[in-house]
Amino acid sequence: MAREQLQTLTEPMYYILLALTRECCGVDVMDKVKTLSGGRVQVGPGTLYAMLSRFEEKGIILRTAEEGRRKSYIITDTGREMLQKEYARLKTMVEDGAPYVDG
Amino acid sequence: MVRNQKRVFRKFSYRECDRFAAFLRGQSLKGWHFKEWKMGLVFEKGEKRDVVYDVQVFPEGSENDYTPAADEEYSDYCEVAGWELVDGQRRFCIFRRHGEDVVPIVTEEEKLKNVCTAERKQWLRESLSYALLAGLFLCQYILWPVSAMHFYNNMIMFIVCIAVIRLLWRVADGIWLSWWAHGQKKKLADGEAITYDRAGMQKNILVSLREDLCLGILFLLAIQAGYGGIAIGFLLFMIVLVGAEALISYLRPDKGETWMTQLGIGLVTLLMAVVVVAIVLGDGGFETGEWSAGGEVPLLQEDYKDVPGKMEIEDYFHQKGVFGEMFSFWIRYVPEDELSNEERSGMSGEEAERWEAWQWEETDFLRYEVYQSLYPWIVERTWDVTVKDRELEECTAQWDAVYAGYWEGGGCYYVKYEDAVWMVDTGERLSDGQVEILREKLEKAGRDAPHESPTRK
Repeated sequence: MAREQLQTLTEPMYYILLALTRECCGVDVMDKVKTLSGGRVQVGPGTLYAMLSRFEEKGIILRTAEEGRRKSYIITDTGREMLQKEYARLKTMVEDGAPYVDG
Repeated sequence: MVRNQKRVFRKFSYRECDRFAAFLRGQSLKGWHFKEWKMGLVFEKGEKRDVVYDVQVFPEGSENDYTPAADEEYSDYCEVAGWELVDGQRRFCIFRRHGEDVVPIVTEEEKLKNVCTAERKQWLRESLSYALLAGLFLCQYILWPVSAMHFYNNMIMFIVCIAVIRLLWRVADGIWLSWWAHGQKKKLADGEAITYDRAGMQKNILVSLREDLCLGILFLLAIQAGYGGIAIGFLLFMIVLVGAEALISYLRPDKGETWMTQLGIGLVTLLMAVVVVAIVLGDGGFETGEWSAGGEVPLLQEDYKDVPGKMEIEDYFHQKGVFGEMFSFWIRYVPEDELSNEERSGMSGEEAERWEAWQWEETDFLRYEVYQSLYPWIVERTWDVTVKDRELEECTAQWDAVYAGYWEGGGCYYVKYEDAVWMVDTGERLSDGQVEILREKLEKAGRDAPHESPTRK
């Protein structure tokens, strides 16, 4: 996937990066995403595997440890920057929409 | 005796991954639970249970994978999410669900992308090999053939037709695949659910030409064309190939070992093929032999000129196909005082060379090929291939033909009629009277075909 395509994060991407703001084992990411989104977002194992591979390849996350079959990851500065941009974009969208939607 | 295990040899395409999962679920409902994928799908007898399976397509995998393409990390994530990886081959990974509230392994978009990628890769791989084969056969037998004999051989024509039909079929399947992928993407965009339960054209259309049926016909045609020894050798070779494939499927080498194992088994298969060919050759499968005139030979030197020596048929060939019929003779008149093997072995090198040169000079050769077809295109192609770029001195009137020419370089006459092509290598220019005899004899031979083979000496 081209870098440009990762500029706007999808919902699962956003929550996976949120989960990895603290070092976390790959298998625990699924639970963490569910908790962070209040059960609203659930990431399938295949989706998670593909995204972690892609994020790692693009330098958005970093593999920190590999104990047997368990691999841990953490977000990189690049990833954090992307997350902040996405957060700001979403925040702007909410602020822009508030006067019209909230009345 | 009650069977506790059974093997099912059923194939599914990637576009049928949901049907595959439903099939496994259906077997579990009957009390047969999927155990492993080892030389077919292996099921174990157990209690009848509703087991839910999910068959995923792993695009990173390869068609040569005999173990699951998904790595340990992937299967760990699935395990935690409630999906147990049971087994897999090629790009397929089979999961068994445990628990009720489980998240799908991938999203619908990802699944479609994975299936399309895998199908496209497989299509490309197969189509390239079909294109290569069809191209090779077309060049070798139709476009730039070495000999016109191929046009009159049913077996070769069948091979060419099958290769071309299968290639066209692959092209049609590729169009079908693109159309299918486009339709599914549209469905997904419209929020409709996608079910992967349809195979490609190859499996869906009954008229699809199956490899085994083609091979069966090929085998019969080979026997009919007089290639019995080669046909049996080919059949044995196919059995060896199937056996090798079954062995690989049973051993199931992992990714690292796959190429080494396949190479090893490939070499053993090749060696066995060489042995088979050697046996066939040893049995006289390709032997042309020497023939005597037990049957009637259509044309001899003595029919149109005085020739001393003993007549021998050096070579004889006859075949009949859907596009026509051809026969060829190569006749020589050897000087009567030909030496025996014992006498020859007693000669010095120089003497032997001198004797051979004398014999060659004194031997009279006649070679002719007669091709007959009702199809003008075949006649034209036969003419082009037979004459090639030879410069001919026209003698159409002498042969009363559509075109006839004499090739000075080879001492051959090339004659074309509306429904026949003749090549007569007399080694010398003939008079009108001699040509008249040749025409009469060869026309009669053409009318009387098929010829009875002269009996073997």
